[in-house]
Amino acid sequence: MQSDQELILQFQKSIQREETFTQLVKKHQAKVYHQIKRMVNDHDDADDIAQMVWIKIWNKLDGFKMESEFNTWLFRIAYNETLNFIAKQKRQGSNTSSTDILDYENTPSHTDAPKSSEIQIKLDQGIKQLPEKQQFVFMLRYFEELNYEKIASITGTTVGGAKANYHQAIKKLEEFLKKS
Amino acid sequence: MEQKKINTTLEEDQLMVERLFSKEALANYDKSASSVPASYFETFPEKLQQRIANNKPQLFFLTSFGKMAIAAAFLLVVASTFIFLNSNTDKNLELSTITINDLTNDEIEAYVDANEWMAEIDWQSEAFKPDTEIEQFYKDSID
Repeated sequence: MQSDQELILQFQKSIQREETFTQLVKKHQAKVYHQIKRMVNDHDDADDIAQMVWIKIWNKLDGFKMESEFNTWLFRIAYNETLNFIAKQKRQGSNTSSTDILDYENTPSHTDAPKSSEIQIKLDQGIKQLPEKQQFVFMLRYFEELNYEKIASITGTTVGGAKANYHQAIKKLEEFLKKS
Repeated sequence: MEQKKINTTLEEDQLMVERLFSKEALANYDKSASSVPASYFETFPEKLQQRIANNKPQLFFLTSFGKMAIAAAFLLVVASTFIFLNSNTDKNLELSTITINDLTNDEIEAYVDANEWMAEIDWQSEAFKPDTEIEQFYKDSID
């Protein structure tokens, strides 16, 4: 399998652009989608945001200078697009979080998963009450297991800021559990 | 104390969460996020390419059309301004070349006849203003 750098160079030299781009998409699509889905909890929304992210990548890939890893750049665009989407939803007054928990319990994929317990619902609610940035940092650290340098680049903050966001998120989750 | 908290490894960071919620609950949460409709990832790149292809010509057409429209409007404004200014300049030039010697006596008389009554109205309106000093007014009009 070709490296990201090789694929990007091929794309920039206009060698089989569509095929090269498709290879890049296939390589990274799952991680990007999952990270977005963790934030928005809805497949259609996650699919729409993921498409927007990849269209942006297609439009800007010619100017990508490899100063950062492609993966980091991709997640940064996904981060911005997701936050924009959530902000837009808030402006339109749409709030899906109350139904998300029900969806979570009735998702077809959950039929073979262990039945949702109280702690499961609390985790879901706890994560949703976090500010978006803390949510994103929490997901990147816990589920994607990224280091703080990468998280800082993705969220446009300092390493210290990223660490503080993660620890604040845990503190808030702890407080949420105590209250509920 | 704070510094110690911040300099944690990935395992320590993960453990902090797992102490609050079970590891199983966290795994299930992620499983929910990872669930996708059947063959979603197989069809996604193709769907994406179609969307890019559908957007491309439209964007190109709109962009070039937009540029042409803006350029045409700009040229129209420049041309109109140029023509307007030129026609005004010509008129001014024409006016500035006319001197009193170029006018016939009949033309001068016709002008005075036509404007005499207006001058009269101006004079009267000034003269009957309550704060007008009549002597000063006559002096001013003679000067």
